[in-house]
Amino acid sequence: MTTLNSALDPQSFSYISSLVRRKSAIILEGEKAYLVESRLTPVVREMGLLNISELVAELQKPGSQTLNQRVVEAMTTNETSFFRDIHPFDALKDKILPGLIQRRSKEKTLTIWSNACSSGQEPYTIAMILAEHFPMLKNWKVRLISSDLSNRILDKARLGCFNQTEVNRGLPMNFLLKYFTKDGNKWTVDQGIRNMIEFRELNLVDPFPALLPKMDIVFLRNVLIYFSPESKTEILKKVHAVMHKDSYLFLGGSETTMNLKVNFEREQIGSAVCYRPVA
Amino acid sequence: MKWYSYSKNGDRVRVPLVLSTSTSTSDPNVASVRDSLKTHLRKKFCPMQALVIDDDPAILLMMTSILNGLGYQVTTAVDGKQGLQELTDSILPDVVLVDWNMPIMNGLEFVKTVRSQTQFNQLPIIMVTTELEMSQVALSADAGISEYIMKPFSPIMIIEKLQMVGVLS
Repeated sequence: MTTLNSALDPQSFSYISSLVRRKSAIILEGEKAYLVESRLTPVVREMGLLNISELVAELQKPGSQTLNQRVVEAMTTNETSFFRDIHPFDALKDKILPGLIQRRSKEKTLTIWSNACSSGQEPYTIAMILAEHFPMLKNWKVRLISSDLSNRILDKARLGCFNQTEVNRGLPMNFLLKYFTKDGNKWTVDQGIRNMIEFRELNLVDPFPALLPKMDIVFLRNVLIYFSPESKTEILKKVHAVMHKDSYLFLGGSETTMNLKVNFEREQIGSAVCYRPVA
Repeated sequence: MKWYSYSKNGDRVRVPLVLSTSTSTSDPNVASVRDSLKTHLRKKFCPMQALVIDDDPAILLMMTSILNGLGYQVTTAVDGKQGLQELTDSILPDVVLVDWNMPIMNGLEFVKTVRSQTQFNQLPIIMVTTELEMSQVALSADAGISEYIMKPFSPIMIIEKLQMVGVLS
């Protein structure tokens, strides 16, 4: 029987971190070696290789673009959960959406962008909030755009199919009962909720697609922490450019625009912090 | 007033703060201020209390460890009947975490009995169980639970559900 040896040598770590940086601008410092090991061991196993050094050798072979993409995706797929950190969703429900609905009552359009959405818990949370608390939006043109760098994870998100651990994380019981059906050991979000979301592949460090609409609310949570200050600034400038003047940006709990040359003002809504674009 | 003296561990004095528990006030502002004051005083002077009911000693141990880490004082019971006794005899907990399948009185019967008593109407009860079918979630929701956690669980799942039922910020 072949024994996997996933121990990471410095050369392999250096190769992986520079590949990830080149493709996604995400910085992997030395202390993230454990993360490289834990994320790439399944890829090593899938490929029938012995260790990460062998994977690095494979990555350098001609015609290995797909494997390169697979490794970048494995390294950039982040943890997520329904109603993660709860407060932004309270702010969304109690203050932001009621205000926007009033201000957009003539044009009846609303656009929300859930960025780096991973397996989809964040956009599904938003969709369930819209369905549960704002039934009047049925007559509106509501776009809930959800993007991620990884097509592989987007495929999972599109299915709207979650395991027990995933539905155990942050999902209120009444939403589980109302918006999910269970088949075997999988819970699937109702078609109506799935239909509310447009999933798109998007790399934050690339130029944004020209047809990206103006956003009313942007969720860009727990993703900037992986970027250098320069990349953070660039991304936030691009996000600013696609936001309406009276819109809202949510960053992760440990993220801020402080010390970055970007035009956002911090605003506290209840226990949530959001950022408003300024000219 | 009660005075407790501990050998080489100082003294502890317990002074009950008597606040009206009358629910007869018709002024919602008075009721709201009263409730806020009670909550504030309780949080300030008295740690949060949790009652954990499960017949599995390993689960009781794990749950107690998680809740202690969150600043809770934990009381345990090994079946629904003992849980009811604890509810009656001890300080009213801020939250109850109850297993479904237990001897003597199961978790569902416990919840139904508790909810049939008006003084426990607002008590957050979280069902923590190996029962995974949607019909069982619905059944316990009908019985009056506040939230549902499927075993196996991790500390973060407990934290998120405590936040959801409003007993952890």
